Amino acid sequence: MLTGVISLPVEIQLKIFSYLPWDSRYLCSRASRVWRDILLTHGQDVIFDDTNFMKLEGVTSYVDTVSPTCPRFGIHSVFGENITLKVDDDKIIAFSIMVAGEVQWIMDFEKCYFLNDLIFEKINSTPDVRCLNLDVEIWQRRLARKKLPFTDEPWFGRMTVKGFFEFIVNSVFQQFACRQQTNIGKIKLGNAMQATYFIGMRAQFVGVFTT
Amino acid sequence: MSQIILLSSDNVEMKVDKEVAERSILIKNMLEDVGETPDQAIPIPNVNEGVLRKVIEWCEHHRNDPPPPADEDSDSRKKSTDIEEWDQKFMQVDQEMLFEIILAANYLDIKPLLDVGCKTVANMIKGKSPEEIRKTFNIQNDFTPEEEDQIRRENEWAEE
Repeated sequence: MLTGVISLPVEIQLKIFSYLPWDSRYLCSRASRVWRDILLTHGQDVIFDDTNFMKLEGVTSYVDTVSPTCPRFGIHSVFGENITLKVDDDKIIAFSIMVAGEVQWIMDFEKCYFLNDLIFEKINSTPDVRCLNLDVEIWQRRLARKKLPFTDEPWFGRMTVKGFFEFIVNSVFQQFACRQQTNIGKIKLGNAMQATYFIGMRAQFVGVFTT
Repeated sequence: MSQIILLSSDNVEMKVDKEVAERSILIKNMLEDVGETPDQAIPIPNVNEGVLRKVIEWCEHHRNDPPPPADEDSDSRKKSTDIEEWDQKFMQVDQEMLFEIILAANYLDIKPLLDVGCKTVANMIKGKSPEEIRKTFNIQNDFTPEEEDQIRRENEWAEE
């Protein structure tokens, strides 16, 4: 009987995946249901190859000067490109990322395994990330383009990609809605979230290690 | 140099240097437990002659490799999919043999060989579309037409 890659033991298949960058793994999960299920079930158990995480040197806008002693840490490479979240009634209903040079829309959150990936590479000393610069654009209603800084957020460390997206949606709408209220005086917080919006974002993380 | 005899699953005996066979942690531990070099052949029930010969060939070539660092997760761990030239040539086999070698390396506990095998497969996946991946590995598309349709619609919508 021919031994196929699919019939190798799961731990060996995971080892193979561990050498792949996340976009290749994503395409694998599209190639076969077996692979998709393996990645969904075990995707978090494996220490993947560090190509999963780009080093922050790779981010052009990386603010190096915040702390000269700050060691480099890896951030999930899904943040290497612009991400667009499609938000309807306060809920993320789809998001797009760049995979192998093409925009891919992902609508099925439960079946997108890398949403459960941690944002930050597991390293011995977990970076205490103090600052996040978020370049945000909301369109459909062309609300605005805005840079949102977040500081001293306690949520990094074990934050998953999905958790991060949800956090962003909440934060962005709070910030934008509040602004709207002050500008026009009539729009309430809830109104800003009822239509379908797209949030384009590019996140920059600045890490500071606690000593 | 003492030699031992390995017995493949299809009952073929192969004489190898003890040092070479001990690249397999399974065999190394087995020999340590026995305490002396055994006279009888050591059965390797999961590996047939052709595959066992390949595995021995690899062990011969790598007999003098330094042991891998004990701390696997240290930064020194080579994580890239780079494969040294000899190993690349060694892995130029048909897929069935490749997977058999991987399975044998797993069973015999030859970690560096398992690494090379898995890297080889990873390199075959890299840069390919789902359809190309299926073609490469002869994987059946087990998504329903509805699911495929949905994926297509999602991407059409994205291009609006």
